Amino acid sequence: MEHSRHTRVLVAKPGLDGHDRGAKVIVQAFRDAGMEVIYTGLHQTPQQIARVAMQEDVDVVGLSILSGTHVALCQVVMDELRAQGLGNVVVFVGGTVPPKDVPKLKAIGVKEVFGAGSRFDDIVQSINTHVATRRG
Amino acid sequence: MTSTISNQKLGLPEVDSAQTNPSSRAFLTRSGIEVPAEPFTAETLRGWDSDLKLGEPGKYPYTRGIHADMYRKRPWTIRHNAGFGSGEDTNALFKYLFNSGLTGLNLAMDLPTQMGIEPDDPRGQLEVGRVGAALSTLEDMERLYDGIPMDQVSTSTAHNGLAIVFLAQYVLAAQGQGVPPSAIRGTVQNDILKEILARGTYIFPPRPSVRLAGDVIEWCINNAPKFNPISVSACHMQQAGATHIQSFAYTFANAQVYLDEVIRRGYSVDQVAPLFSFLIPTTVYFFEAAANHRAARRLWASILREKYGAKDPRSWMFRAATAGDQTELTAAQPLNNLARITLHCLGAALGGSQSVILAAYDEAFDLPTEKSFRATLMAQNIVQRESGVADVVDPLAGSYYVEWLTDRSEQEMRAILQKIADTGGMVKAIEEGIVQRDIAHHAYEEERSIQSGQKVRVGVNCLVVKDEGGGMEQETFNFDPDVGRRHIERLKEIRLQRDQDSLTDSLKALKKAAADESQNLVPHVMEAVRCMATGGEIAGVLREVFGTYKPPSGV
Repeated sequence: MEHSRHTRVLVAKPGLDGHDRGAKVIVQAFRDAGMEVIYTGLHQTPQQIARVAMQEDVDVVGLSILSGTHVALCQVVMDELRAQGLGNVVVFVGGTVPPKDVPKLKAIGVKEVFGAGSRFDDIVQSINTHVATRRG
Repeated sequence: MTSTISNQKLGLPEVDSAQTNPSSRAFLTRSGIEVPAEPFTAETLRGWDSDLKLGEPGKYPYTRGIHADMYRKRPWTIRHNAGFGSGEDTNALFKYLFNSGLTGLNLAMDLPTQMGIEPDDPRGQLEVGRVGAALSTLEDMERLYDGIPMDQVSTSTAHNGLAIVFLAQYVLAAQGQGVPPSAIRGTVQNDILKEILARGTYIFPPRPSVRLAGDVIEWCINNAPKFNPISVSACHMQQAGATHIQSFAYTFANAQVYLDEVIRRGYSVDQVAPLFSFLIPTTVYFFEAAANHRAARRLWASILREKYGAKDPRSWMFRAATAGDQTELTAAQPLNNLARITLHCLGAALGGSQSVILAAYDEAFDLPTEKSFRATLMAQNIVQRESGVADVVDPLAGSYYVEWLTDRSEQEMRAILQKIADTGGMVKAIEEGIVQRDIAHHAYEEERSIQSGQKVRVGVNCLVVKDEGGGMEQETFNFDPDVGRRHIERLKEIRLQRDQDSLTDSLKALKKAAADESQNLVPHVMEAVRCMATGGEIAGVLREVFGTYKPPSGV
């Protein structure tokens, strides 16, 4: 039964950055792709994000960051997720990320990074693949 | 000799034949206005009265510009957003810009400063000095302007939720240099409603936020007449997803909220309106950028004269700075963005902007590098000094197409304003989340039309270069991760050196005044700032009285 449930995604805005166009666009795209989506709204702490991820039993956490603090913020979010026992949740990142930081994000456990211009199809397909792997 | 280098060798994309056949595509402006196929002729403008619709440049309704001779005498000001690290770090940058002849400084502030969060608060410490300067206390502001004469520069800054703290710090730093408030020049954005709608650095709920905005405007009317106490901003709404036309209409709705707030306190419209300035977006679709700006000038003049009964021509004038639209720039083939930036500048120039601030070609990745920053500066100079666009006042006037588009745009702005009035006004529409949802939905529609190829983005959905090496060769900004730690250490020293009693008293007095709606809070904030209160401490006191803003949920 577990395999047939809809993919549950938490789209979150960590930190103080107020740019949420990308987050709100991807929320609508995921919904249209048949996923169940929760959006945190702005200015969330890593602790708040991990708590909601736990409560909502999500498969995926999407972090949208445009303030340049993605590496440090993602590190804290990953730590908090692991502290909640959610180390195997699929985490991906969107926003303003220079290419040189992508390997750093992947090294701390982020599965994929989708910057400006990424296609919905590619993002959804990537999530489906990672979620299928996670569910075994 | 003929060159025979193949497309392959140059890394040029193969031209996609589907993209070169235009018969199937829709012809829409940036705001989605359908452009008819028939040529525009004199017939298009039948009944159109140039005396009524245009008038003379520098005269009501200002369609042709707010000055009679426009750029012949006053070229638009070339501005740059700058600022990072501590007050000292930004001081070095500002000195460099000032000594290069730039007297219009655009000060970017970091997010903890904008949000009223202490730099050593866990919510803020990763972001200290990252997207702008960290200005926690008066001492930071004094360091920022050390050696820069504050009566000779004009500072513009995007401080909103705590614009009142910026004003207090700026005025006191100037006084420290012997410059009185009456001599300071510049602009503080102070437009909290568009933060709630689009930019996201809100702190308090809309109504007390509007009161704070009103306090800043009122104080400047009485004390700092050369300082623009508000810059009502459309560009963030377009960046968040509004159409170009919607962004102007929402801005006029917001502007009237602030205008009403100050008039309610017993000021005449002609005391208030001349202090208003605007920040508007441009677009690659430069005919629409120009048409909407022209329509906006005419509409604002009409609102002020007809609806508010303003008599002073300065109240009728829509003074605007124009900002580039980063959402039109692409991460793919970043150098292509130089062409887009040039078109942004052309749109701003043809629209008749007073100053222009443009993005850099690499902003999809990070803050600009020195190289990309300079390229933007030069692009703007090329448009202003080489193209001849600045030699003629309102060169598009009388164009069948542009006048048609200008009229159409004004009608659409008026219709949106009417719709907002019908729902009970802008504050109510914001509280209920109506405008936010419209913006988010349009952002999604726009992205879908790009992904479907209906809306062309060169390099993204056509003329794609397949192998770009993942952009790894792209040179990007290098941020010094140590600036935050340095700023926090300095702040800890300041905290120890302050006179605790006077600080506590000033914050108590501020809290008491905040609870009394008849009080203007600027003098109280100023006293706290003088006692070295941080923006975070001042915001903390105000949060206790005003609460914090919780946006309506749902996308």
